[in-house]
Amino acid sequence: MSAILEIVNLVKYYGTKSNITKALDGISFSVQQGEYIGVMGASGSGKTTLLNCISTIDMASSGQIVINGRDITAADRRSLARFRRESLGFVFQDFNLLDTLTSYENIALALSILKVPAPEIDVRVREIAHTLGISDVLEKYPYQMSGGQEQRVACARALVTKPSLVLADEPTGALDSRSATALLESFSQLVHQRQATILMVTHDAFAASHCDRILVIRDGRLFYQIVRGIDSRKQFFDRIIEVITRLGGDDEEVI
Amino acid sequence: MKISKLALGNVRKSLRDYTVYFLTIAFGVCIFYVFNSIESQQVMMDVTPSQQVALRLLGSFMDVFSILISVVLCLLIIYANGFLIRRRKKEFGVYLLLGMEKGLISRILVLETVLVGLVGLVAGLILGVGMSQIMTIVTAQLLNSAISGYQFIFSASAVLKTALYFGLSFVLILIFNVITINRQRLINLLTDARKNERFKVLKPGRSLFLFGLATVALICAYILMLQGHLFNNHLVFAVIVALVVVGTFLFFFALAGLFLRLFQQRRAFYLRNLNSFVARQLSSKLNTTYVSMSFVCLMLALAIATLASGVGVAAVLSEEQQRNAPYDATISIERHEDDELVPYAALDVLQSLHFAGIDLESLAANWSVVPVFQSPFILLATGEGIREEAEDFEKTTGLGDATNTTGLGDATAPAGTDSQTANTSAVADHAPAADTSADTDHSSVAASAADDADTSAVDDADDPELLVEPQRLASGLIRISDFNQAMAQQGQKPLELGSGQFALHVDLPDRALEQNLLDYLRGTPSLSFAAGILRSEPALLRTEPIATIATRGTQVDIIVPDVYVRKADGSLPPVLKTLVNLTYGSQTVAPTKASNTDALLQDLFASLTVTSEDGTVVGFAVETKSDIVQVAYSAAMIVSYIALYLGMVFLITSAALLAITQLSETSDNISRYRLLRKLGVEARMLRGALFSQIALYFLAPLLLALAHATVGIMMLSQLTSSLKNIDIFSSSTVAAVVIIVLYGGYFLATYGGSRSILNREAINRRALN
Repeated sequence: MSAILEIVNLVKYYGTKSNITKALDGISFSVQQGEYIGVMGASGSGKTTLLNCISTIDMASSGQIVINGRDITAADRRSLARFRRESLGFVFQDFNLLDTLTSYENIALALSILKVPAPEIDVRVREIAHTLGISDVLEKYPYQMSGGQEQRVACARALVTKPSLVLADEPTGALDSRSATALLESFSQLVHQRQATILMVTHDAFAASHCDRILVIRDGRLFYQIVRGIDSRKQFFDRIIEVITRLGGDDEEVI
Repeated sequence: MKISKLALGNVRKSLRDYTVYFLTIAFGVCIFYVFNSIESQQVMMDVTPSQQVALRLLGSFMDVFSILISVVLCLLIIYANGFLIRRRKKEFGVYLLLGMEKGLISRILVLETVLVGLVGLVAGLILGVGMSQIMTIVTAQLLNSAISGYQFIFSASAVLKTALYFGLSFVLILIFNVITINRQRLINLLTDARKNERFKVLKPGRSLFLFGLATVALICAYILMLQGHLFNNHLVFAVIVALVVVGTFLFFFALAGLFLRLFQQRRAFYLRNLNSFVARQLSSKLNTTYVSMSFVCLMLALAIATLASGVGVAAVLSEEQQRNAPYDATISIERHEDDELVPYAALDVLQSLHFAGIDLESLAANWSVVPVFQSPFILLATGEGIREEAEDFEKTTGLGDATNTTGLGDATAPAGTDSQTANTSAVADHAPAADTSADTDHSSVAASAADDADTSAVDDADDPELLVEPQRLASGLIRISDFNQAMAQQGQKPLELGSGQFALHVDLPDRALEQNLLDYLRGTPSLSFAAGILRSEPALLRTEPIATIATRGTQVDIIVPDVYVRKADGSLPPVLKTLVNLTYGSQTVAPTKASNTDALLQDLFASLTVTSEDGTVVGFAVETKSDIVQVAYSAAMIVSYIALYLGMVFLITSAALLAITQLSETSDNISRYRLLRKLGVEARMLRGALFSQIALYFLAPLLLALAHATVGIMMLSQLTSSLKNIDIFSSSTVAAVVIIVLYGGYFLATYGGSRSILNREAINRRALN
């Protein structure tokens, strides 16, 4: 397995010289292809900044982000846009579906902007919809669907382009536990079936327990790393809780 | 003080939403001021009294139209303001949540409104004062008068009027705003912004059906309009208006669905780039705004029709009036009693004038005299067409005595034609200047003719008027020799009558009348005169003016060979009026400058009267070419200014409506476009999507409005004679320029505004590095 994402000494400062916030303070890690990575941390620990930097929506102050062997911190704006649509897939906490488009069109849009021919778009949209169990809601608008369905449509949109890396920002945050479980199981399935690589930021220990590996971030640094190994999901969950409790002990903040 | 700070901050913050609003107020104020201050522009020009009258007339027109305009602008401002308030509900909700009282929020809002209104008013006035300086040059050009020297033009009364009208609008808006806020509940304010919008698109079948219905309604309305039924009666008028309005509404209602289906059916196209996004955006927009879209379309149609036809009418008016003045001056000799022409015995004009001490030769290089005799026939326009009818002189009361039984001619029994042919030489003739040697001879002959005329009875042949039904077309008899003389003087080809033929002459017929007359002639009508029967044919309709006269009615004259203008006893019938057409020349004794000859003529004839041989006292009326031309320019100015005023305001109003509804939604769109950017859409493609979205949004109502307006203009040009000769091309060029500048300007402002909002995010992001 090759490293799909390589973060080296990533730094991101906000603000002016007199009032600097160190959102990321020299963080380094790498992700292998087909890995299901969770990123945990308290509010303000730098999770979202990290995600924004990787997704090229935000720019790092220093350090390197290498995706598929390419340093994206050095790329210009236009090639970044191309990189985003070709190599990344996004899943957001609030789904971020276009409310004027049907599910089908939302998913197809990701392929349209890649200039995939129409017949192929149709095949791929139906295939991913089948995998995620949303074939029956393809002609519905976002407001006509449940949150769980919306999020699965959002996942379909992220995955239909077969991106090197799927970035998920609190994907279960707005879902009830049943929908969340269904979604997380879909993720696991995708990772195993399609060799997709997922980087998921989450607060939720339950959600995190579906991952292969958890990175815990604190104050912009990598604080701890939990590898699932051969543990069952339950055992892994307990270990995560343990770490969080420890983290909570050190820190006043409750996660 | 804190409130004012908050209000000021709010205005500054929502400047994006306010820009178009603010610009529209400023434009409205500017136009309002400019058109209401036209009267004061004359300080810079050399205006004649008649132009002064025209400017005053324009001023009073502007007073009337300004009321309409201010109502339109007021409604626009209220709508736009309401739109902005609705978009800010959440902000007000937060204020309330923080414990601010409604009264205080109202006060913030009042302050904001006053602030925007005041700045808009002042900016508009400054712009208006500047514009009115330029307008003066245009006015001078339109009036064909010279700028006497630059002078700063400022109309305090126009400023006051503008301030008053717009002040009132803002008071209305204030009340409206306060009511809106006071009626709101906190829960609504907070949740309204995030209300689920429904994007229900009509089923394809249904939208196709409705679209078909709309098309049928519009086509029916168009056909009815083009067939000239619009002004037939109130019911038809109402039906046509209803068809257009309903058709337009249905059109936009169904358009969203149809448009989308059309796109989706071309799968490959729909799924290319951001096309599906653009189509969806547009159809959802149409879906939610089809009502205002229809209003915009109807208003645009009005604006385009007003602009194009107004400018066209103005051009035609001045052209038409110039055509109405083929001679430098025309002296009409006629007698009026209670606004009706009283016939008098034919007289020898030159002789009469000579007795009055006026020598035409000293006044003009060339002239012609055209007596219009009382005709034994009148033409009646009925529903089925035109027919002739013997004039019933008995019916009318008049000065006539028993001799009127000798009649002018008998429609049923023509007789004694031969005996009268010998008298043709005695017909009063006139002397063209070229024929000066024969002048005295002519005069004597003419004098004898006048003697003859003496014996004829004078009847009160009433001035043809519109009777209830059928319509009476004025008809007099003109001798062909007189007519051809008048034609020769203006360089027109002579009328050639075959033997036994008569011709018809009408000044400035409208299309319907001309058609009716042609139909009448096609029926080879025959008229029985004392001297015999005359027939005619369609080729014998002449429409050149035979006098310089400002106003023309539906006067139809019958042109006959000279001998037919005889009564059974061989005498000349009475004359309705006599036209003396003058062409000034350089060799005349009188001052060579036309305007001075004009003045001289007016002086000479103002109080002159002549007693005809039957004792009727007749007066003189002088109309000069320069007067008519001046009036034409003034009329053209009035029409084009009113058209511009109304057209521009309608145009601005509709464009502003579109711009405001589009811009205020950009805040919603921001999240959509942000998401697209995250998904990796390039900036160029985003801009393209935004552009096509806004362009189509602006284009849709414009296209339908163009169709409406085209049909409207075609209908107008059919209905009114003055529009018959409209130069569609040049008038629509002016209209197109105004539309492109104003509508295009609003489109660009909207696109620029939306784009800057999208760009701002990108810039913010870059600024962080």
